[in-house]
This record gives sequence, structure tokens and C-alpha cells, in this order.
Amino acid sequence: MTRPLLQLAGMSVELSAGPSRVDIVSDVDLELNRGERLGIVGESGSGKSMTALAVMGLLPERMRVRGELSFDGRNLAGLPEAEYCRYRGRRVAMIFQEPMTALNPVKSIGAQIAEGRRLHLGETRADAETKARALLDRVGLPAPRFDLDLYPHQLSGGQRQRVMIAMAIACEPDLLIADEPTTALDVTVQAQILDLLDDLIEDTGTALLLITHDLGVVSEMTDRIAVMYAGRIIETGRTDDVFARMAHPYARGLFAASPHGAALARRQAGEARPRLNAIPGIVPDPFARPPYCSFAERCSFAEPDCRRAIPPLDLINTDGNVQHRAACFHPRARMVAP
Amino acid sequence: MSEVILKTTDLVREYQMPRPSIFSKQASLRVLHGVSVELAAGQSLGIVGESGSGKSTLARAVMGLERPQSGRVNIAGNDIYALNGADLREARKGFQAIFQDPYGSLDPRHTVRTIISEPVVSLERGIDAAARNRRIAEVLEAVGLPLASADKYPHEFSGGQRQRIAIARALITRPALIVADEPVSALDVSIQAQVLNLMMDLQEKLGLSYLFISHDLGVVRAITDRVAVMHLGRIVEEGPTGAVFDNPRHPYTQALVAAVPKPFSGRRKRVRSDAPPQTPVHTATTVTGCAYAAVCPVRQEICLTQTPIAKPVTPTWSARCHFA
Repeated sequence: MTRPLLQLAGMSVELSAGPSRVDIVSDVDLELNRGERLGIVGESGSGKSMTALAVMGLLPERMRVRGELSFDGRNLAGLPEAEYCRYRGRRVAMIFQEPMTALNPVKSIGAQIAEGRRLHLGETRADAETKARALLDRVGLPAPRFDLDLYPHQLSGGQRQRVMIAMAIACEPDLLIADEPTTALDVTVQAQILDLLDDLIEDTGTALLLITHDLGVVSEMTDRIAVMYAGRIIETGRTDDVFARMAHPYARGLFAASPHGAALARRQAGEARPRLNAIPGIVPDPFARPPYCSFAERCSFAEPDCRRAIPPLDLINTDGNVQHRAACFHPRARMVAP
Repeated sequence: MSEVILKTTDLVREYQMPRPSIFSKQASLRVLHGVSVELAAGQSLGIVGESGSGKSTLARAVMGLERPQSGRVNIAGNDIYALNGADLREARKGFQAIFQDPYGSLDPRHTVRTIISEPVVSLERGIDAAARNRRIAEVLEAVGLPLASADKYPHEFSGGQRQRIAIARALITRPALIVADEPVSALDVSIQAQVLNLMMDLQEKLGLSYLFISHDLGVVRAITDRVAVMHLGRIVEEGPTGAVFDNPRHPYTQALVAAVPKPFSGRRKRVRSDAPPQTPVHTATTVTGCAYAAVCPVRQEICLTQTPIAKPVTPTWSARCHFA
């Protein structure tokens, strides 16, 4: 058995603010093999984007990785910047959420796509630009309408996201991280971009780490998911299994609160409009996370032992060789869907 | 049927394009092509569409912020663009807005008290301080914020609480109509549900009407009675929300509903196409034919030559398509 491509073991991201230190991401275990698709779901402040930035080595100055973060057998935590540059863009590439701000407004799209190949692979400008042309065709921006010397402001949001994807796949990375790649886009454009990503992953066999808050997107795009809350993974397993059971009350609550869940409940004529199942309260401040289950205060199933210790990510089921785990002392047993 | 609180008639709004040179003809872009909607008192109407479909322009026109080139906006029987200053001030008490960005729409240098009381201060000049404070307490209680929040600043609140402040500001003049432009798009799912529930509670308690603008079909389904689907400045389908989303009749609505990723649907089923995706764009003025024809899967000859009119599907449901 080969080593997983990406392995996080007990990884934490630590933020130092003055004298105090706090873990933004705590004790994350994740594995990702070549060609696999893993989704990370969570709300803002759950640490999902920080996990991605940690893998990319793009954490803000005051943050530090603890624990193991290894890529292709090499521990990347604490790697000097010069060496990290050889991974970033070459072996691991990222698609950001905001195509408006992530592209350089004063460089042509051709130069931005070719940059990675010239830098990492030492290609000449001419070779790199030929490749950039081919990449633009690949992501559905054909010549002559979409020339290499266009600038980002001349493109629509969906077209810019296609350029971002072309940049990310330019050096044929082993791992593609997509952080909310379609959140800023309209649904029909979102569908086109997801189709494109799907195609590319199938063709190139790259691994995908998809970060999103949209339960629909993650369900359609991934094999496995990890649900994060307050810096920890609280449920993980095969996507179908997690959706079918939603053993952690937060996972269940998140689904019930989303309009997807509400749409399942039929409305009777003449009856009052059914309310959404909101989760009461707010996400705890990272500086004041409790020393017990961080969801206990918002959980409607909380029992006394929930306020005593942090629940470990326990095995609750195994499907094939994928484990379904949930960090809850009282995981829900009833299935939410067939 | 109850009375109509909002009625727009053939709203047309054009924007002037920059001229390439001072000798060139002034070009304009038509963003609303004769939009007519009706909202009954106590009901809510959703406007859905993609960016650039004109839904926010419609909201601004309804709020009296952008005078349309032609057409009328009637709110509670008043044509708001025909009113003079004093009458408009009086009428404005009846309709208020909630905006999308709870960070940008509250002045960071003002206390919540100043922010919330601003509509009262400017629209109801005669009111005294004691009465104003009573109104502030009343709306803060209605949106579920503690009275002590009045003396705090916006940065002390989370996104969901800020949107509650924005709702309190909209409620303070006791309006009958609230225009909400993407009010929950910036919020997380669990907080979004809290704010939507609050809006539904307030609607039942105070008999509010909502013009609810959103790109999120799920949210619109949860809160509205009727929905109007906009495409390039035209309403292409309008009807009861559940019926329209379950069984859309216009090809554009069908595409929109089909494009939403759904949990439990398993891995996506792709339609591989080699043709570059096309996006129809706004036209200068009215063109003949259907604006959606360029990308429509069921396009026929007639679609290019004749502009479709709204065809009734049922008495309360219509679609602007030759084949609806």
C-alpha cells in the first residue's frame, strides 16, 4: 500500500495574539490519496479555510502549524519558504473563492497562466504561452474571443474563475485545493464550473480538496467529506454515508437549517409557513472555546457528560474500507434519508 | 383577494453608456424591459434571477431610488414618482429596505440607537425623544436584541445580529412593505435560518409584505408565497413559489432549478458539451424575439421572430414562452 498523498495527523494551527496562544484549528486528522475527492464542509470560523491555507503554506504571519502535515511522504510543517515555493503551484495548487481579487489586474491572463510553467518548469516564454493557449481552450475559453492578452477586468465572473482554474492546473499538480470555488457565481455558471472541475479531475487524476459551505455542492462533487465545527472535524466518512446518517447533531442541524432541508418538508395549504430549524446561539469565539464539546451549548441533545470532556472522533461504522467517524458522545442513530 | 400593497406597471429603466467619443451617438442599456409585478398586503413576493438580470434595479426603482424612464410604481395607492417632496416623505414611512451586506449597511461610527432612529428622525420630524426611545425599545424587542444593544456600535455584533439591527431600522417607521435585497446571502446557514425565521415571525405579527430579492432559490422557497423569475430585465415566469419550483414551465426557470446542486442526488450527472457556454447579454432596446432564444434548448423558428407574451398556465401562474 502506498502512502497517502496528503496526510494530516494531529495537525493544529496556532495563532499567537500577544502573550496568548490559541488553536484556530485543533487536532485534525485527514488523509487524501491520488485521484480522490475530499470535501470539507463548515461555516465561517470553523477552520476549513485555515486548514487549506496550512497545506498551501500560506498561513498568515502569526500562525504556526503543529503536528504532522505531510505531502507525498515529506513533512511540510515548518518548511522554509524557499523550499515551499517548489511545492506551491507545482505539486499543490489552489483555486480561490474571489476570482476578482485573486487575479492580478495589471497582468494579462496569458502571462498569469504561463507564469507557473516558466517559474517551475523553466519553460521559455513561447512554450509557456503555447501551453497557456491550450489551457484556455481546455477550460472553455476558446480563441479568438479569449486571447492571451486580455486582462481580468474584460472577463465576467465565471470566465475569471475559468482563468483561475487554468492557472491552477498549469503545472499539472498532484493536489488541487478549491476553496469555495463557486460561491461568488450564479447557479447556472456554478454548474458549468463544477462540470469543468469534474472533467479535469477525471482526465488528470489529480486529487481534489474541496472546501465549501454548500451541502449540495459537496454532495455532488466528493467521495468523502469532513464536517468541521469550531476548528475540529466533528464527522467524517463517505459522502453518502454521512448524508444518510448525520450522526453528529451539528451536521444534522446544519442540514435541517439549510433551505435544502426545508424544501423536503411539504407545506399544507392554509397552514402557517413552516419555520426553518435554526440552530440557536452562535459559533464560540476561538479565544473562548470551552474545554468540552464546543457544540454542547447549542445542541438540543446535550447531556451532562457533554460538558465534561472533548469528545474524540470515534468510529461509528465502516463502509467498504472507509471509516465513518463522529466526535459525539451520543451520536444519532436514526437515518435521515434512505 | 386582499388589497394590493405594491404594483409596478411596465417599468423601464435604461442606463446611459459612456460614449467612445463626443461625436458618437449616446447609447443606452435597457436593464428593465417593462416589468409589472403585484404584491398583495401581508404576502411576500420573491424575485429570483442571476446577477445582471435587473432584480436589484427593480428593488431600487420600487424604493424610489432610481426613477424609471417609464412606468409607474404604486405603493399603497400612491404613485411614488408622482408625489412631491412632503408627500413622498409621508409615503416613505410605509416602505423600508433591508440590504445585503450587514457590514457595509450600518455606519460604523454611529451607535445602534442612532442607526435605528435615523428613519424616525428624518421622516417623522415632530416626534419627541421619549416617544422615540419607546419606539427603539419596541423594535429591538421585536428583533430579539437586548435593550442594552442600543448604546453599542455595529462592530460589537456578529453578522446575524447586525442583520437584526438592519431589520429593526426598517421596522421603526411601522412600514407595511419591506424591500429586502439579498438579506441573508452574507450569513452562514445556521444564522441565515434564524434571520429568515425572524422575518417570518414579524410578517405574521405585524402583517408585513415582503418584496424579497435573492439568487438563492432555497431561501426564496422558504419565505415567499409567490415568485417572479427575472431574466435580462423581463419577468419570464411568475406564480405560486412551490408550484413554479416543482414544475417550472419556462426553459430558463427549468435551467435555473436544475442547476442548483442538491444533497442526496449523488455524484453530478454531467452534460458534456464542446460548445463554449454562452451567456446572453442585455440589449440596447427591445429586440424582436425571445431574449432567452440564444441558449434555449427548445428554441424554434418562432422564438427568433416573435417576442413571447406572458401566457397563463393557471389563473395565478404565467410564463413568457411560446411553448409554456
